[in-house]
Amino acid sequence: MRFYCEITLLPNPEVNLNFLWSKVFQQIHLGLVEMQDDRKQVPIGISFPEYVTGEKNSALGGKCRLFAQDETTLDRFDAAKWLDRLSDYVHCTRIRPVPEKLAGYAIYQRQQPKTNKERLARRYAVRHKVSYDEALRHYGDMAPIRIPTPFIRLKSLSSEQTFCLWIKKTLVSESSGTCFSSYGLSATTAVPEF
Amino acid sequence: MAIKNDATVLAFEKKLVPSDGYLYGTNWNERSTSNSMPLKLIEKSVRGTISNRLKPAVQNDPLKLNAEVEKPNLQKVDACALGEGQDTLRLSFTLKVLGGVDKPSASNGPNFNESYPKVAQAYIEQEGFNELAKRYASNIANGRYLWRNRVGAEKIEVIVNTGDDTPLTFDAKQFSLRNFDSSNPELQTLTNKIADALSGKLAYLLITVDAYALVGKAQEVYPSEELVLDKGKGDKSKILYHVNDVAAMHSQKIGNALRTIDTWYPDFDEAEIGPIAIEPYGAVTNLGKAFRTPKEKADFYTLFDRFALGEKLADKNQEHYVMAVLVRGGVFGQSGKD
Repeated sequence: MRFYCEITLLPNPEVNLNFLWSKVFQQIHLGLVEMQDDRKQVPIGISFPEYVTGEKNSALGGKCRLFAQDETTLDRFDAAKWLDRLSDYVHCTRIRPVPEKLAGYAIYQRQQPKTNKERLARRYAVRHKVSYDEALRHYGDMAPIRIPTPFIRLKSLSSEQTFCLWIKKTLVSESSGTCFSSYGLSATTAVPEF
Repeated sequence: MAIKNDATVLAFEKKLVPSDGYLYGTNWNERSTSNSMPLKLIEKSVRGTISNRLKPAVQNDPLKLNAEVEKPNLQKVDACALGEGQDTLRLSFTLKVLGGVDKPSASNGPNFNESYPKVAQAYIEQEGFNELAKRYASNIANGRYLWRNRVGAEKIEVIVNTGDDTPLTFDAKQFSLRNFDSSNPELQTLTNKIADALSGKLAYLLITVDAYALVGKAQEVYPSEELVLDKGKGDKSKILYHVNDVAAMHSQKIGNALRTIDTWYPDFDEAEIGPIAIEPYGAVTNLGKAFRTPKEKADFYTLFDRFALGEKLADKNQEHYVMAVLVRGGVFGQSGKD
């Protein structure tokens, strides 16, 4: 990953950060969907430079960076165009080369914890050909889990459902891969940290 | 020793009086021609999971924990959205602008009553409320009172009627939320009207505002949320504001947006949050912070006690701030005891 641009969510007394993340990320996702190749892969990855990992809770912070191998990819994506309608609330830098001196690499991946007993039961019922109620009983003593990973609340444009996109960060020592999902996340591709 | 502000009873009526804002749904392409439909609240029942922190006693006992988790966490919430065939939100309110800031509605201090009206009239004569009026006008033009409905809207148009024959039209995106630098002839017209009304040159000004925000087909919109003071069991956990079945925005919320013009507080450059609402202590509730503290001698009372008795303030901006708090209105008397 050799080029990047940085998006800052401007602090604002009127609109809180979580709400703003939903709106900003929705737009970035829409833009990345248009960059998909025929294998649904995207050449642009995302990082959260202010991501903090805490014992009980982690937080995304107020910035994200978009990375690509070359300048033209980011140019073609045109972050400013997708964020135009949010121009009063975000600041987007021009495309810059990634600095020589790096703090390391990190993988930002989607985490899908199993939090919803009803959803699991629906799947179990189909898979094991049992009734929904029986399936629910199977998960009856499932304890609630607290997920410390930060998330962005998104709305599925196809099903209109809101869901949480949990984003887990793992530090790694080496750069790898070039492809990401339409959320700019990947379980294998690392982005530079600085 | 200098004379002291001796008014123990002191109150100013507000000079910018917004109505509640009503929410309607319409279509961007037909916004000027077709009627818009009042938006209604929708009640949703959702089944949530137990996810709050449980007491340690419950956490450590598996039986109790299961019993707790088995309880369905049923919640009823209000929501509001555009209709299936609508892509544009219309928010409508009126704003009354009054003069007479030089006359407190109640005041009992002889010294104060002697000096304050002169000081206020001098300010009106010198400034004519131009700076404040420009900022209020900008906040009408930029659609700040749409609050969360403004975030991510593709286009926003504000139509302002000041009682003249020709309504003023603003493209809200041309007016920044972060500063008050942009200007155009329409904004100047609106500024002059407001300035004249605040200065008392115009006896009465009623402004009608219709803001159109293109937010997308059937998208969720955000009326004011009601503060639920006593939550009984089984009650709704989120109640939205409505008037006669029309989803609405509190007039206080609109007023707060219109007076978000304070760029003169001490930490303005460092805080990087842009203008804050005019408040005696510069309070921004959702950041849990007061930006004008008596310690820094930047709060309203410190400045006002000096200003009202004819003392010069450090700069014009402090005068603008003091006058803006008086336009906001409030009860500013002090305890008679020291």
